[in-house]
Amino acid sequence: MTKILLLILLPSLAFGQELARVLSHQTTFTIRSKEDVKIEETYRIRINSEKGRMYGTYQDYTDQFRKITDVTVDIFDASGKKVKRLKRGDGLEIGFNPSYEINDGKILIIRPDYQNYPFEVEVNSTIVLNGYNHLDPWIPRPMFNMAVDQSKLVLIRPKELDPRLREVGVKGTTITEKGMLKTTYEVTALPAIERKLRYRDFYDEQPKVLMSPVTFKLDNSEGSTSTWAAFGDWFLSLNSAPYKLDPKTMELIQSMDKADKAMIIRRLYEYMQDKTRYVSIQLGIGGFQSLPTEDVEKYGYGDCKALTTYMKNMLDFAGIPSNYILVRAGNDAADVMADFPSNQFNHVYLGIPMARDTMYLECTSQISPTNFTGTFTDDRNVLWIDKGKSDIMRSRVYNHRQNIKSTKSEIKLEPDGDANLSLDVTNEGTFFDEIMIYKSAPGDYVTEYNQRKFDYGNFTIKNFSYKQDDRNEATFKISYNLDATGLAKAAGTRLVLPGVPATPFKKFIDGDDLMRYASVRRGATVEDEIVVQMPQNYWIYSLPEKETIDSPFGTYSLSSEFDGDKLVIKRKLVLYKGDYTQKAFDDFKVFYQKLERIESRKLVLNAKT
Amino acid sequence: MMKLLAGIFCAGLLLPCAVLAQKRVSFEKVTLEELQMSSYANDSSAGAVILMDLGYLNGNELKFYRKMRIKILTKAGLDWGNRSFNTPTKGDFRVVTHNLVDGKIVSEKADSKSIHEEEVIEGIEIYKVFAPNVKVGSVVDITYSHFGPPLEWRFQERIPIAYSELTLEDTDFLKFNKTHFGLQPIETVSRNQWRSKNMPAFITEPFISTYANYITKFEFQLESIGTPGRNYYEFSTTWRRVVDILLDHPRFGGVIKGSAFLNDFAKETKVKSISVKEKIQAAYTYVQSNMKWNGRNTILATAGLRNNFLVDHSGSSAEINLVLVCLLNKMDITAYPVVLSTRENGFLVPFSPTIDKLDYVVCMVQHEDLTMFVDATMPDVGAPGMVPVRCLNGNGLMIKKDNEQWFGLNKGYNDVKKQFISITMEKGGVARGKLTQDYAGYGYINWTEELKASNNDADIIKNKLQKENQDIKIEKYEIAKRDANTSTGKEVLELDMSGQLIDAGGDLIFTPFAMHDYLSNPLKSETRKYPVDLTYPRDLQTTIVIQLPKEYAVKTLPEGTKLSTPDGGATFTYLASASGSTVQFRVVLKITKHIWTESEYADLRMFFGEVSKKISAPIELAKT
Repeated sequence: MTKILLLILLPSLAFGQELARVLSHQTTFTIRSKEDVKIEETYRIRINSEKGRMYGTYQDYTDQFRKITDVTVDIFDASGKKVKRLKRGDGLEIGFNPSYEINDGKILIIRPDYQNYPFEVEVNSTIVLNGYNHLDPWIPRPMFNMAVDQSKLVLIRPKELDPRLREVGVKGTTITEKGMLKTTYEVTALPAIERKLRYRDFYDEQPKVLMSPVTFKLDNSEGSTSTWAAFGDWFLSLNSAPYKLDPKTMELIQSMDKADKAMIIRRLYEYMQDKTRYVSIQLGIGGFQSLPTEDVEKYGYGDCKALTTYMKNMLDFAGIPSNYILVRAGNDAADVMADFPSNQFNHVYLGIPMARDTMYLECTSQISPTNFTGTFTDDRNVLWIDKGKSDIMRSRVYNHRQNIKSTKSEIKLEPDGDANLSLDVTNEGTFFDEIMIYKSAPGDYVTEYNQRKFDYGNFTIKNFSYKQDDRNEATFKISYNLDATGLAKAAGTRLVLPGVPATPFKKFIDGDDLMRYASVRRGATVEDEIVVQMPQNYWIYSLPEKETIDSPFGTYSLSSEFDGDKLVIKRKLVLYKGDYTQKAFDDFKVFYQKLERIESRKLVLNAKT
Repeated sequence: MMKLLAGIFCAGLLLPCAVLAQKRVSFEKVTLEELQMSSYANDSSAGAVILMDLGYLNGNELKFYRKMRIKILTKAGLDWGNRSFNTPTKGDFRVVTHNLVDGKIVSEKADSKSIHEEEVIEGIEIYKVFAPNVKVGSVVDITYSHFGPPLEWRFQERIPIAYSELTLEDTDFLKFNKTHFGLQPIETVSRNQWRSKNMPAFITEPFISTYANYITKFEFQLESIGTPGRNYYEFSTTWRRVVDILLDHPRFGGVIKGSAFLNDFAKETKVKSISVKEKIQAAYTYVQSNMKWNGRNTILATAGLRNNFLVDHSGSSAEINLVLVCLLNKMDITAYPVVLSTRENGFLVPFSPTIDKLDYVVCMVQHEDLTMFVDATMPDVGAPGMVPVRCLNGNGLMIKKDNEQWFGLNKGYNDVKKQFISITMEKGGVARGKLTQDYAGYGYINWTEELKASNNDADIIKNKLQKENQDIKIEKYEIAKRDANTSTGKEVLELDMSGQLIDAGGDLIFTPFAMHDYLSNPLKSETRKYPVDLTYPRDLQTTIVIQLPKEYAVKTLPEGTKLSTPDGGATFTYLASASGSTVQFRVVLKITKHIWTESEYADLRMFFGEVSKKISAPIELAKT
């Protein structure tokens, strides 16, 4: 009661611009069996103005195990009168995949074509799952600028099918009804939140309930996530079919020197890279089961499971055991919750225990060096699959000692401020990942990509080339030659040169002042040695003192010295991996501003009179 | 139109007696040379090359056959073993991969598991084929056929095409015409056959409305089906015919003639003693407040127009603007619809009349000596005159009986922006600026779009502007004025410009410009293949007044200058002057034409380069 009063009395206490308001929302999960779940959802949302139009759109997905059996979208005008009813046929079903993918997923979108604001949309939908190994989380306020008056989750299930639950910011009450457990969660009066924090930080703060089945059945395959070990065993059960290799492949393996394990791994990895490509055909349980190895060799393609299984089988034939690793892949993916065994994965790769360490193979890449996994799967919780003992471990971390970008540049400066720059850049560690763009992107993308690297006001890239000396080494070099007019600014008889004519330190930090976060996802070492050939008869009054910074966030050093008629600028920036919000953000900002002050300094060249 | 054709074919409505195809395009067996090829001589960077692409329309069967041979040269080209095809009717595919194994050619045919039909959106299907065993060096042959002519024929693709040939036999039954896009040469072998050799890969460039305008290809439009006198459907053979079809259509001409729901307002407003312009404004506001654009670009209204206007208040661009035409006419103001193709839909080619390519309608008033466009789909634009940016694509066709008149879609509106910066410099290396930015014309429209993208929230906008301008510190940001009725806006910022102030051993060096749109050259590539489209003319003025710190006077000022491209289509004047303790700058950049040819590119690029350099030039102050 009090809460409602508050809302009425203080309408202007806008916690954020409210573009839509969920008036009521109830989601009921009825788990009848492992192959029968009904999800009934009904909600009513008010769209305040045109700016909130997108909140009125209904959208949900279907696939082989998930069907929308019923959906209606009713529209009510400001007086409460129902003006329209939209059904499935009024919507659009879209299944659009990239050229290398086929799956049976589709999205149904029903968008009301009504714009007499404010109006209300009421959605009633029923979804049926005939097999599931994960359940969508319940998040009553999933988006910015959306207020929620009331939202309820009801979970009905027999005791044996009680899912694993994680409650964040909300507590449920459980009763027993008709022999089934019934748990109810409710939230009320959630204000709209402005888009002034990072989505990830917003998401973490949201009240929510995560649900994951402890045992499940997909098609005819029974599995369990009671523990990681159980889930790992299920995955293995789908991917342990006996294999048959092509005679040529077997011959190749037999011809190798059994003693040199590392060499065998490398040669087989390259063999696979040269004869397969990534194609993802995921229909039905194909989402969890690989295309058999014979088909991979027959068609010359496969998805991540098929290619990884193929590699695993070849190694097995060579007498080398290896392990599947399940991961949530992507350069910037959210981490897997280690204490919530459930299917949180979207990719698989291979680990090969060696005498002293482990080698890893990314089997979907035709160009990756052996044992290089890069930013796709680094530094996160992954599931190491081993019969009876699958468990979460931390994947390989590429740290600031390995991720090195080192540049040697020569700048020839003219008296009018124009310059020619020659840069030689060496990329190691996760900086090596960039080669994927150069090797596979179309020419116009590469041109634009290179142009975006330079912030000079007016420049022309005269020459660009890149080179990887050894297919197996995760390091490559780039060379640029560019003309930049006005690199130094002429003022009277002076020339003003940027103190650090190199990639600004800011480019290695991801952050936002309004959202108050700063992130160095991967530690990095950035070294620059810049030699500036000054124009004849120009000199510098005084060079700045050497700068050094040593902080918990990283280290920095900058020196500018003469070497005959050349100015030599050396910069070394080391950034430690970190994610900084709230107080830590304020502390990081101090470090950031120090670097900003240093790097924004200019050098003034004077003409000798 | 092609879907209509497909429907007709499927309903078995038309087929003349299906004679077995007598001619087949020759597609020889793959050769050892083709398999041994390790790079494409004309383009060493190509990841794959189409060795031949042959298309053949059998005039009797009305069946189209295509054979394509793709050579994979590097790992980057492996994806060319996966192809998607959009056929107008059901397609019949065959895919074979050839590889060299121990010096011998081994060919494998794709089985049904590798050929998929995918429903992209309801009713629209594409075929996806995955050629088996594609490796570096493989040659992939794809052949398919379908009824009806193809929707388009690309002589150019994202990879080079060594040989492309299209043959379209005459058919009595089906008449269609084609529109030729792109700049690469195509050889006309005969009336029915065209080919090209060594076509370079298509490369996109910035500042073009859509790449589809420039890729070298034919687009096909149906002119008629059947023979005159018997089941004859005619589509669009001339623009006059297009005009007639639209005027006769219940959901185009019908809207203009009917729409009784507008009568009350028309009657009431028509008799008011206000000027014609004021009446147009009233009609514009009335339509805008009763129907908001739902994001759809169409040429025809829907059957639910009356309900859309009165109840749902939501409609497509055609519905909104046809209603406007109708309303104005009811008020005795002469107005006509003007149809066009939007920027993303590609150019309309005047000598290829087609209804298919039209996807938008605006209203045009032609009353006594008043001529203006009216488009009520933009909520932030309260006064008529401008068409939305998406419509700025060449000329539009007026739909007026017995007429064929084309009109340029921009009646003199520019991207107008005025900056005024007042800077005070204080002791201790501090420089503060107050920046006012005024927007008008398309400058105003762009500004409102950017504000919308930032939720119209001053904090979000300030943050975004700060990220884009890191040499200065934005301390305050405010939207001072936003006037939909005059389509003008103003924002005020308080800046700390100390970062642009350097102490040079007693003298001060200061760069006075901030947040100027041409601090960097927008044209980054050295060469250019296609014309540059800047969308609309530009008018950018900057005035700066600097209050010098006590004890300082000007030592050097950058010289005044006037820059211009050879034809005067872009001009820049820069004036700097000092008097007493103030320094003033007055800079005007005008771009009067928005389309620049490839041969004018170098001059335009150099122009912007010089502007960028000039704007970044600092001033020197010395202690007095």
